Amino acid sequence: MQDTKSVLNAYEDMPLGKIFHHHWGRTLHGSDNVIFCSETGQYNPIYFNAEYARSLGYDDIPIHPLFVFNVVGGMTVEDLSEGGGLFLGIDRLNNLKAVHAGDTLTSSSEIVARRLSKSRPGWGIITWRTRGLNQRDELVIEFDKTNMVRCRDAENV
Amino acid sequence: MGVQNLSILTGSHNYLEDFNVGDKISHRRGRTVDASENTYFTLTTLNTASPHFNKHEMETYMGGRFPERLVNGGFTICVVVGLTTQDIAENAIDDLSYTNIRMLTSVHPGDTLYANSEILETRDLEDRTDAGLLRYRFEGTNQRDEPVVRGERTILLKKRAFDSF
Repeated sequence: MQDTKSVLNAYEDMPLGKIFHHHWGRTLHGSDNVIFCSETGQYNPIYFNAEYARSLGYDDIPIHPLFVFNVVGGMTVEDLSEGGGLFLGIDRLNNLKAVHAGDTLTSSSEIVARRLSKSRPGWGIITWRTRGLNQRDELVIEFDKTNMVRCRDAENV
Repeated sequence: MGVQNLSILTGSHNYLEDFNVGDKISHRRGRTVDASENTYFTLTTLNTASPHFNKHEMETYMGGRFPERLVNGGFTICVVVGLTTQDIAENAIDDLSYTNIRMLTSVHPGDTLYANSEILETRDLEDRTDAGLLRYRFEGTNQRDEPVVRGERTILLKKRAFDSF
């Protein structure tokens, strides 16, 4: 078996237009949501008061979109950023459809921009467009994430 | 619980009409980030990047430039947005979009985050009169007043008409 570190993707493994279908998928639960909203202080009762959520037209308490973002983004890490490299930014994040407890999300990403870093030899800067789908293949979230990505031969940078 | 009761569960000072472009808000609370919650958040979102949860590995990561584990940037965004929420988005009907989020300084366990915001845009909608769009810039700072993250959030926010009856 190969050294695990050697199989993580590097800059060279992420050509423009390449699509990654990420592992696992994840069913979201009401318990996830209440812990998330509590520990990050999301003080809007839509996300923790079912009567209030229904009065605003939701079927039930929606999962907070920022938790959806982090799960959909979390599933991209093994393919795209576990190889090391700082998280630089997020653009064009759109929450397109409410997610509810019991929904299952999967995640895929397409490489949409890449260049080598000028200031840090051995590193590249890559942007991928990530899409999160629910169990009915409906797009629930999309966003562009930009990270530094290590080049394959860049040891000790 | 009747409809009349529900509108008293949120503030009466933070409807769309209460905000003007250029308003700046220093949010009252701060939040110290602990190592264990950073580990939990990272792992529960299936994020496998070990700089968030392997302290030993940080001794050699990027030449040993960081003294401690890195707080998950996604978690930092959530805490900072959370610090802005009661003041600006407590009466939001929907959380629509984010953009121009930039991670500016690394955050480590034990750091304390604060937040401030500026209202960038308020906009009426053609298809409804009881709510509109509000776009604001949020900024998170640490205990040394260094900016750690900036970004823009757009929400669908109630107007007073939503809760008047």
